[in-house]
Amino acid sequence: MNRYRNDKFARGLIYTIVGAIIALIAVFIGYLLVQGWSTISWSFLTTASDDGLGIRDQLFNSLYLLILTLLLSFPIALGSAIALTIYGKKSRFAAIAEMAIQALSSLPSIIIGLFGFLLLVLKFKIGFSVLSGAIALTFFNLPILTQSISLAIATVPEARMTAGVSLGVSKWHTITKVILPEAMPGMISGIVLSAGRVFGEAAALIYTAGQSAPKLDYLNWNIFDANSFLNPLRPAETLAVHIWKVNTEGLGANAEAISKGTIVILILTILVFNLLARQLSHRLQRKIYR
Amino acid sequence: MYDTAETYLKFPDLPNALTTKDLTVKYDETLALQPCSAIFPKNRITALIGPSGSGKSTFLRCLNRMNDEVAAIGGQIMLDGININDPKLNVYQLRQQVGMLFQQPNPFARSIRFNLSFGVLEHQKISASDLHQRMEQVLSMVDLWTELDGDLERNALQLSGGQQQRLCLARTLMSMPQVLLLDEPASALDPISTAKIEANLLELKQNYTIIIVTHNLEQAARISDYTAFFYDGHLMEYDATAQLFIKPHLAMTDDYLSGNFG
Repeated sequence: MNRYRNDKFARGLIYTIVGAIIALIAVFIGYLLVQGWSTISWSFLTTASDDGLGIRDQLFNSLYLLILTLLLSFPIALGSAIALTIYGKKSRFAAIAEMAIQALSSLPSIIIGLFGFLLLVLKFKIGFSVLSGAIALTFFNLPILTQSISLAIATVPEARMTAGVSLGVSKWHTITKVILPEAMPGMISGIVLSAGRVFGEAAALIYTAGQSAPKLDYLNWNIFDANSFLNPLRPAETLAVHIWKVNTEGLGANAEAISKGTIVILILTILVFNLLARQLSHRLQRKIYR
Repeated sequence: MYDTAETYLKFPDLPNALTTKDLTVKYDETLALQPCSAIFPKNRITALIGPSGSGKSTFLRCLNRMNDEVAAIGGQIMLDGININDPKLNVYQLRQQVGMLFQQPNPFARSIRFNLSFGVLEHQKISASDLHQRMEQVLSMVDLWTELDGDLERNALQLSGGQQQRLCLARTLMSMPQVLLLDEPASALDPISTAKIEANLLELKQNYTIIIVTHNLEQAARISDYTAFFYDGHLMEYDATAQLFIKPHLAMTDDYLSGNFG
């Protein structure tokens, strides 16, 4: 039985390749974890970098920037996705916009960073700040987020729209009450996957959010104070930028340990994001299709 | 090719629910529907038959303005003395009056309750008890109420294809429309489900005017009172179904019914 043997062979080959990739990733992540594990301690996570090892402020900055970026980019991406997949479907405008989105998504992030530096930091005089960083990251995030939300919306069958419209419901209400809820699980995975990319981004931030992490006061809720943790106009070094800076400047005897520990925290946070995304979208899916 | 100059249109002398006058459909530069004037008697089933591309579905979709975005519609469609092809007409309300059922069952991927209440609640304020009563009523009309044991929380996608189509039929009935437009509603269903839908339609015609596009000539013969034959964008022949199927006036219709078309 030649065919049977061929099939067995092909399957074996595919499993071997997949196994090799999984093993490679496991070894890679495992190596980083082992290397950095000894650095990680409670004080590593809870003290400022000025006082020694800590990455407290960098961790917070990363999360704060992520939240601001999502707040800025999600509404725009959702709006564009709806416009492209439903209202402007098959139009010339949509085709051009899609090309632009693809071009933007392949733009190197350092270019976005330098563009942000020129436009936001210098021209608009926002300075190295959380806000500049969040806007630059929005440019960075928009193409991917728009694409993944479009994809999530496109998986909802067109028949839903026909059904809604034929019942005398407007397109807009059919979108908000039928199509978006059904696309929600897909949108959530898209958002969280893009969040992972944003969280790990360094190049777009070096010249926008800056490379310094002033010590923050987490009890100061006045966003206009320079040391308030919520102040959007203060410079904000993130985890990824911290790794880059520690490695290029290599200051102090602990530089290597700090870098490795930060890498572990960065990877673990992104892993947690992905697990959460899966959980959330599964749960939503079950809730909707029950 | 057949000659489309000679038509035979014999409309009944009955109270009518819907009439069209010189209705035309134009896609870009091509006229997909030639000026079409027809009368649809109240509380009767009228079947629209004809080969693919003859314009029957195009015609049907005009009747609740589902073609607005893709084509230019000319002429008049009169419902209750109002021209519903008026661009100023509120199409959302019109579609509550003229319901539509499609070839593929298209329930929302939500509960049966959501499916039934969604359209109506957009237009009417109904108390919860009235709403529930109406749901029971429409589900009973399509014989689903007992099949579902009155369980409104089940996801519509869990139903069989035939049940889904009957749910969609019930969904259009929720707004108590005057006219039902059916676009090959049974062509995706098995014979048993088809028979159930047909039985529902025969019951429903007591209160509704039904216009059905079908490729299934036996179905047209079984359930319709009147039949309209379309060819190449023209309404060619219109007559009582019994008359048209036994003794069509046009050679073209005869050929189509006997399978010698083309």
